[in-house]
Amino acid sequence: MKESFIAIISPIILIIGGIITSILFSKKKSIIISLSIFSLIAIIINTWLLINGEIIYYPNVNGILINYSTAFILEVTYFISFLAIIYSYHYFEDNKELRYFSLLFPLFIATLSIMASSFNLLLIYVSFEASTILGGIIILLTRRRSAVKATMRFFLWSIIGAILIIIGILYQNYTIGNVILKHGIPYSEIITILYAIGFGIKIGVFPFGLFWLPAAHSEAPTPMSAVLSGIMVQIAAFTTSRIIGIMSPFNTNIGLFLIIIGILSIITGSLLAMIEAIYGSKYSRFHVGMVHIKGIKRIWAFSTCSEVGYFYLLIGLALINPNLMLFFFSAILLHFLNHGLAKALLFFDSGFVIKTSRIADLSLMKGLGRRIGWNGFTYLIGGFSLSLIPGTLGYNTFLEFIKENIDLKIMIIILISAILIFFTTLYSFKIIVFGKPKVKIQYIKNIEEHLFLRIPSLILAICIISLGILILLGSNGIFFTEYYHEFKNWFKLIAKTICEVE
Amino acid sequence: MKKLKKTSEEISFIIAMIFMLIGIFGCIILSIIFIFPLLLMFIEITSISLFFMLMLSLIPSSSPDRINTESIFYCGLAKEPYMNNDSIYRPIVPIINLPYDENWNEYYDKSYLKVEK
Repeated sequence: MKESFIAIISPIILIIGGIITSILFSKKKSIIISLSIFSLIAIIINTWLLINGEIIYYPNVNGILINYSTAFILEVTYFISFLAIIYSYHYFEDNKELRYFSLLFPLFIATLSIMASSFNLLLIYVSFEASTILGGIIILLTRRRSAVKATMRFFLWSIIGAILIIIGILYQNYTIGNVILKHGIPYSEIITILYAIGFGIKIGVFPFGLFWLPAAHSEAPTPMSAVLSGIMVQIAAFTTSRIIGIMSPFNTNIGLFLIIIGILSIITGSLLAMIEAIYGSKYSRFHVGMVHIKGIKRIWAFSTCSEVGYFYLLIGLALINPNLMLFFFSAILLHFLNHGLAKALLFFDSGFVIKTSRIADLSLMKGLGRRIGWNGFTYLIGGFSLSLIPGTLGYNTFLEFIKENIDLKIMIIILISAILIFFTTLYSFKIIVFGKPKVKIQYIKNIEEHLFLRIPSLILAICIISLGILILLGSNGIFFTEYYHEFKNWFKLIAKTICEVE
Repeated sequence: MKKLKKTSEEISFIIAMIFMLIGIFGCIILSIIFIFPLLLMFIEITSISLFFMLMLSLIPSSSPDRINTESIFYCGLAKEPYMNNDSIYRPIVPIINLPYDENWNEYYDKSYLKVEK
C-alpha cells in the first residue's frame, strides 16, 4: 500500500477531457474522437492498476483509495461509458446537445468513480450529490417536457436520500469525531439503516425507486440511460455494500431488513416490466409523459428496479451468514458485471430501435423485420442474460442462488422474476420485429441507418456470451474447468477488498 | 441569421455555472483534506449557485412573459420587422437553455411519421 498520484489520474483525465472537448471542438467527429481518446487513456491507466493489484491512495487513505474491487468496478464503468461515447456519435442530431453532453458526461463518470473509490463518507456524499446534479442535467438533453418532470423527480428523491445520509454522517461525526467508515460506532444499527435507505433511494430499491427511476432512466438520452441503469445505480449499490459490510457486518436484523426490501424490489420490478410490455403505462403507472405508452425504455427501467433488488438481497444474505460473506460479496461483483453489461446492451438496442423506427412507444411500433439485423440477436442475449439463461453471464447469478445454504423460498422468487423477464424479453422482441400497430402509420421521410448505434451492443453481447459459455462449460466440468475456477477465485480475491482497506 | 448578443440572464447563468463547478471541486478536495470551515464555504458556494441557476431557469419556464399580439399589429402599416426578436417568447428547457423538442411529445417523431388514430 503506497501513496501515489496515479490513484486520481483517471477521474482528472476525464474532467480535463470533458472541459477541453466542449471548449475546443464544435464538430461532431472531433468531439467524439477527443472524448474517446480521453476515455481510452482512463481505461488504460485503470487496467494497469487492475493487473498490478497494488493498493494505492492519494493524498491519504481517507481520500481516494484504489484497491482490487474498486479497480474492477471502475474498469466496468469506464468500459461502458466508452461505448456510450461511441454510441452518442450518431445518437445526438444536434451539435449543441452533443457539446453539453461532452462536458457533462465525463464529469458525471468522474464523480461516480470518486464515489466508488473512497472509504470517507463525506467524500462519498459529495460525489453522490455532484453525480445527481450532473445526471439530472444530462436527462434534460432529451428536450421533452416529460424529461423536465422526470428530472425534478430525480432531484427531489435524491435530496430526500441525501438528507438521510447527511443525518447519519453528522451523527457519526458527533459520536466518534470523524466521518471515516468504521466498525463499532455506537448505535451503528440506526446509522446503517439510515445509509441503507438513503442510498437505497439513489439505487432505486422498492418502494422509493418506483417514483423516480422508471421516469428518469427512460426519459434520459439513450447513452445516458445505459449509464444510469448499467453503472450509476450499481455503483451506489456497491458503495452501500461497502458501508454496511464495514459498519454492521454481523447484524441479522439489518440482514433481514435488506432481504425483505431486496425481494420486494425483485418481484415488483420484474412484474411491472412485464405489465409495461403487455398493457403499457396505463397499468404500470409512474409515467411522466403527456400520453400513455408502452415505453420500450420504460420496460428496462422497471427491470432495473428489479435487478437492484439482487444487491440488497445478497448484502442481506451476507449479513445473516457471516461465514459466507466472501461468497455473497463475490456474487455482488458478478451481478454488477452481468447487470451492467446486459442493461447497457438493452438500452443501446432500445435506442437503436427508437432511432430506426422514430417511435418510442411499442403500441405504435411497425415491426422492423430484417432491418433489425444483428441487433435482434444482441437484444435477446441481453434479455436472456437478465433471465439467468445458461450460456449467458446471468447463468452465474442463477448458480449463486441454487446453493444449499439459500432458502427455497428465495430460490423460487428468483426463478419467478427470471421467468417474468424472459417473457418480457420475448414479448417486446416480437413487437419490435413483427409488430402491427392498431393505428395507421405513415412515414413522410426516409430514415438513415447508423452503424455506430449498432456496434456497442455487439461488443457487449460478445462479452456476455463468451463469459457465459466459460461459466456454463466450466461449472459443469465439460471444458474450461480450470479457467472457470480461476475466474471464481479471482472474484473472491476481489470481493475480499470491498470492505477492507488493506 | 443575425447572431443575437448574450442576454444578462445568460451571462449570469454562465457565471453561476462556473461557481457551481468550483464549488463541487472544492467540496471534493476539502472532504479529503477535511478543513471544516472551508468545506462549509464551498458547500455554500455550490448550493447558492445551484439555487440561483434553478431560479433563473425555472421562473421564465413556469411563468412566461406573454405578448398580446393585437398590440403589435399595425394593419400592415408598420415597417419590417413587425416584431422585435426580444419580444417573442419561446419556452426553453430549464438549465440547458435549448428549445423544447415538440416533435417527440407523444413518443414518436412527428417530423418523420404521421399517425392516424
